[in-house]
Amino acid sequence: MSSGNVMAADDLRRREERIRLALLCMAFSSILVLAMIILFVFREGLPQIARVGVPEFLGGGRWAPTKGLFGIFPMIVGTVQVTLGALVIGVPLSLLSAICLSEFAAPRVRMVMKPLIELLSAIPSVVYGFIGVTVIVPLIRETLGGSGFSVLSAALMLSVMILPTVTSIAYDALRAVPAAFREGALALGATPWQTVTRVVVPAARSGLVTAVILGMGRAMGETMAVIMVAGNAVVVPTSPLHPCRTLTSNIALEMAYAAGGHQKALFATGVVLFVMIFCLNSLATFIVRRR
Amino acid sequence: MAGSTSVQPVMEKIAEAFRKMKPGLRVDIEGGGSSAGVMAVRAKTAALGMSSRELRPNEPNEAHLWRQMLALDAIAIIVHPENAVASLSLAQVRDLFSGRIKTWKEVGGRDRPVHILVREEGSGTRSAFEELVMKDGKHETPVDDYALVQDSSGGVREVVCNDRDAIGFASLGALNASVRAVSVDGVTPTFESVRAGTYRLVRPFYLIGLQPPVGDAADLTRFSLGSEAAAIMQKEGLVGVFR
Repeated sequence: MSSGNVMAADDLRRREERIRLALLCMAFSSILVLAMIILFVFREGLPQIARVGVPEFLGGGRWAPTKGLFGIFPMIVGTVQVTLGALVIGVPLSLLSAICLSEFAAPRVRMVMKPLIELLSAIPSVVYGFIGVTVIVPLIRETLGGSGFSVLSAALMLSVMILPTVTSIAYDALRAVPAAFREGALALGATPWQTVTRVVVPAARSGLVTAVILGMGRAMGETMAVIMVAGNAVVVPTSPLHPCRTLTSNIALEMAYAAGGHQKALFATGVVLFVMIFCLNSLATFIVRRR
Repeated sequence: MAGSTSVQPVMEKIAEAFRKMKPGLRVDIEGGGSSAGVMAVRAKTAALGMSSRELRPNEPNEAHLWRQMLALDAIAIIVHPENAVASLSLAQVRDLFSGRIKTWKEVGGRDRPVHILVREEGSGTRSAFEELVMKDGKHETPVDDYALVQDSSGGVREVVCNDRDAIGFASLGALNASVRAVSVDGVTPTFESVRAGTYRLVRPFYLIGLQPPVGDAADLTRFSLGSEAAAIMQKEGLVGVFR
C-alpha cells in the first residue's frame, strides 16, 4: 500500500516535470522566433550598412537607392520629431484622463469611460490614417498652409493613437498606489488635488514613465497611418508644416519594388529602427525594475 | 507570369479573355515590379515576365533575354481639374518637379505654391518619369526633396484631386475624371496622340522570357498581340502594338 503511494507520487512528479518542460519549450519558442527575426534582419541589413559606411548611412542627408545614395538621417529626424510631437500632445491628455479615471471619477463613470478609451486601440490604424487624410490634412492645408501632409498632421493623429496605451497603463499604475497613502494624506488635511499631485502621482512615477515610454514605442512603430498623412518626403523638416518620412514608412513604402542593394538598405533601416526601439524598451524595463 | 505592376492589370484582363478561348487553362499573374519579373523569368518561376521599362543592356541578368513589345503607356502629368494651367512645356514640367518653379503664377496660374507628388523610389512609373522628364540629354535633374511621395498611382491621383495646388504624374490608364492631364509641349496625352507618336512621355510595356516562349505561353503571347487584346488595352488607356 505504502509502496503504491510512493509509485503514484513518483509518477506524478515525472508528469509535473514533463509539463514543466513542455511549457518551458512554449515559452522559449517565442524567444526563438524573436532571435530568428533579429538574425535575419541583421544578416540582411548590416552588410549594407558596412558597405555604405556607418556615418554615411546614419548621417547622410540624401536617400536615392536607385542612384546609390543611402542616407537615412532625415528619416531618423522625422521619426523623432513625429514621435515627440505625438507625446507632447498625447501624454498630458492621457495622464490627466488616467488621473481623472483613477482618482476622481465615480465608479460608474469609470466603468463606462475606461472600456471606451481602450476601444480606441481596437480601431485599425488604416482607419486613423483615412480620417487623417480626409480631415486633418485638408484642415491644416486650409488653416496653416503648406500641403497639409506634414509632421504636425502625423503627430496629431498619433497623439490620439497612443491615448489608449498611455491612459490604461498610467491608470493601472495609479490604482496600484495603496489606498493607505491617500487616506494618510487626506487625514493630514491635504485636499484631494494635493493628495494626487504630492502623494499618488509621485508614488506611481515609475509606472507613469513606463506608460509614456510604451506610448512612445507605439508612436514610433506606427506605419500605415503615418504613410497616409506625413507626405513621406525625405527631408529634414525645419517646420511642423513640412512633410517628413519615418523609418517604418520608408520600409513599407519602398519594399514592393526594391531589389538588390535597395532591398538590403530597407533591412538596414529596420536594423536602425530595431536598435532604437530596443533601447526604448530596455529603458522602460530598467525604470520598472527600479521601482 | 510575373513582373511590373503597371502591366499586371491589363495583362490580367487579356488573360481572362484568352481563357475564354482556352477553357481549363490557368494563368497565374503576379506583380512585384519589372525587376522581379526579370528575376522570376531567370529563376524559371514564371514562363513570361512583364516589364514596364527597357531592359538594361549592361546588366548581365537582363542582357540576353527575349523581349516582345506589348504596348505603349503614356505618363500623364496631372493637376486638379480647377487648375487654370492646361499646357506646359517639357522644360516647365521638369522645373516644376525639380522645385525650380515654386508657384503656379510662374507658369500662368494662381499665385499659389506648387505641391509636388511623386511615386516612391523603385517604382517603374517613377523611373520612367525620371527617364522621360527629368533627364535632359545626359544630365538628370533630381526631383525636389520636398516632393510628397505616394506608393501607388491611385494615391497620387487621390491627393491631386483633393488639392488644387498639386501636380503629379501617373499612367494614362490610371486616370479618371477627378484629375486633368495637362498637355506637354502642346500635345495632350490621348490614345490617338500616343499612337501617332506626337505625345512624347511614353514608355514601352514588354513581355520577356529566357527564350522565345513555347506552348501555352506562345499562344498567350500571340493573343496579347492580336486585335482583341489591342481593344482591351485601348480600354485601359494603352496603345497596343497591333495596328
